[in-house]
Amino acid sequence: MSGAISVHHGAFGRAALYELDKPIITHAHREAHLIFYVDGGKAIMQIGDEAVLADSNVAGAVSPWQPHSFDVADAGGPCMCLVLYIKPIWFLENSQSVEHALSFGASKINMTKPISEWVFRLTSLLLEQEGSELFDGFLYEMTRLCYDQSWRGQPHVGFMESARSKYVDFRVRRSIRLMKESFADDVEIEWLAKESGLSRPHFFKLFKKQMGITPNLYLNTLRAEQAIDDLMMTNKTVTDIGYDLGFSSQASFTRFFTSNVGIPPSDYRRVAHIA
Amino acid sequence: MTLITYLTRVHFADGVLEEALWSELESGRKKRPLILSDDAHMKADLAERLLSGLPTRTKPHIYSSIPNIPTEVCARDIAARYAEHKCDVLLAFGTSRTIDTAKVARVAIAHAGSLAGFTHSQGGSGRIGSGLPDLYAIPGISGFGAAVSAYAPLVLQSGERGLLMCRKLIPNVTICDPTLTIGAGARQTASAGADAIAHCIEAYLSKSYNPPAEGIALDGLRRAIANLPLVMADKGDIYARREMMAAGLNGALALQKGLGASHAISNALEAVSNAGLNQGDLKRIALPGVLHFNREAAPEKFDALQGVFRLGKSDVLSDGVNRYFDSLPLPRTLSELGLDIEHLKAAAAVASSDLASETNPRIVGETDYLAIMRSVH
Repeated sequence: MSGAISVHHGAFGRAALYELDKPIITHAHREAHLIFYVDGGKAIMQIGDEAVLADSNVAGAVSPWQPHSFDVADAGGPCMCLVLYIKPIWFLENSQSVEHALSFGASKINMTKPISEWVFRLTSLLLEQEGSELFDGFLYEMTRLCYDQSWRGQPHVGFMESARSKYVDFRVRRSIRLMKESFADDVEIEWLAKESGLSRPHFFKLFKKQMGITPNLYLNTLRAEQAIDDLMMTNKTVTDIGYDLGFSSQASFTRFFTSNVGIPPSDYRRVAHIA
Repeated sequence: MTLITYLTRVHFADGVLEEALWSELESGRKKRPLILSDDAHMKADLAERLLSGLPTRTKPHIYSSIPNIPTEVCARDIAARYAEHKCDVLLAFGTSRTIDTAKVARVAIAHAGSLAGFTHSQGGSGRIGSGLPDLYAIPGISGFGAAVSAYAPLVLQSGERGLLMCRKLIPNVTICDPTLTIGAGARQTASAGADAIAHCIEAYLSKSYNPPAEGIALDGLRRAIANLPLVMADKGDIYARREMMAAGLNGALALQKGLGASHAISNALEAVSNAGLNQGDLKRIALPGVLHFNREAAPEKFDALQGVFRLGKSDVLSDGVNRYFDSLPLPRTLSELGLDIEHLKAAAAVASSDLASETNPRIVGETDYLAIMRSVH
């Protein structure tokens, strides 16, 4: 069964040391991802349209809101991996591109010697199982190295293509606002489509085209992020967190959380530390 | 001034609005924003972008009765709403009048009683305390000056005009997203461009010593004069729109160096007409006349500006700037704005006491102002 060995939360995001033997379904989130192989079975990730085999030579980079999934690639047993979740504020404060402020330039990161050393240092820090003032600096530097490498030699996307991809239809925007306002309720896609002034199929198609993920996935993301926030920042019980997010039982909430985050919510709370 | 400070936290990138807003509210732990914006912005598609950028479990309230010039009455009204809804941050979205209104409201929220004692003329800058609520500013195609400056004009309860001036008024965060200008009309675009050009030229010429601001002003001017025609030709080019927003931001960042007579004239005419005149329109008309007035005050800087406009040695800068502006769909005389000679006389008196008069490269008084305005009437 998949589990987390340790999770650290800090100013720029969080890092988790996972032992995964089950797939994580296609999902997306606001935070960017860096996924490093540490030990055990190798991992195969689908990042957007690209398949990335994570091993000691290659890591995966996922931009904010980019759909991605995870599976263990071979029979080497569970995959131990270091997973970074980087808040968009890191990109906003460090990006040097006015056109692509919020993305990595490539999905594959070569494990250079400096990057491997940072993986080792961060992994060691997580294995210490306690908060550390070093964490934010480590996460920051590791992300910077990977970000810089991801853009090295990358062709620039045309200006218009860049603008088009960012100028999202106002009806989709409206549906996003509605989802944010009511994600803890029983939101139906039919209702969202109607409130956005679109037929259900048109809404679904337009949302997927412009946001890269389906409305259902977007809703799942909002729920999962709020769940993590509640687990870390409140004293609410796991059961109450699930109820507040609209789940009818702790079991259904745990199933949802595990398939989206990788481990059960109670495990997450147990192993997580705030730096 | 010789204290150089740049200035606040500015996000500038294509499509950055939603994520920057979300991230800033999230890291500031703000949950109850009071959104200030005029009706035109809140009825537009842009409002959906703003609202969809709010984090989950945020409870926004919207205030859209924004006056042409910020007033004490409006600021008190906003303060009452802020308290009623237990808000924890102000978001000002759209134009300079909205952002300036938000600045005045910050003082009203933090301090009970009349705002007259906080105005610059009453020595009130030091009385503006540290308990101001946070303000995040999101300029649209215009409003950059308000978004990064420490000033806000206002009409007091008594009907008198005043100026708030304090570094604490600078918005805590400013978000500049060039994609917000896609879809702006030709008139609006031209007016915003003229405003940016006037800010850059006047900040560059102002007699304060601030070399970085001069560099920023010249860079903004180059970007503006090269790209405004491209945007006006409506080639659908986000690059040119981005460059125009950069020019607007440059002009706004440079204006801490001080401005000049065309700014004073524009403010004064806006005040005496009370007709909601557009600053870009007014500066398009006033700037050539002011440059003619200033023509011998700063010869080296005039040479540099001639170069940016690609004018020959024998050309006259004020004529060259006027020709450039003639290509824009903007009014060319003050009479086209419905202003008569009485407006001009009243404005001349007001302009002569504007702070911008003090940094104009040539000493300028009421009689000079009237003569300049008559020359472009």
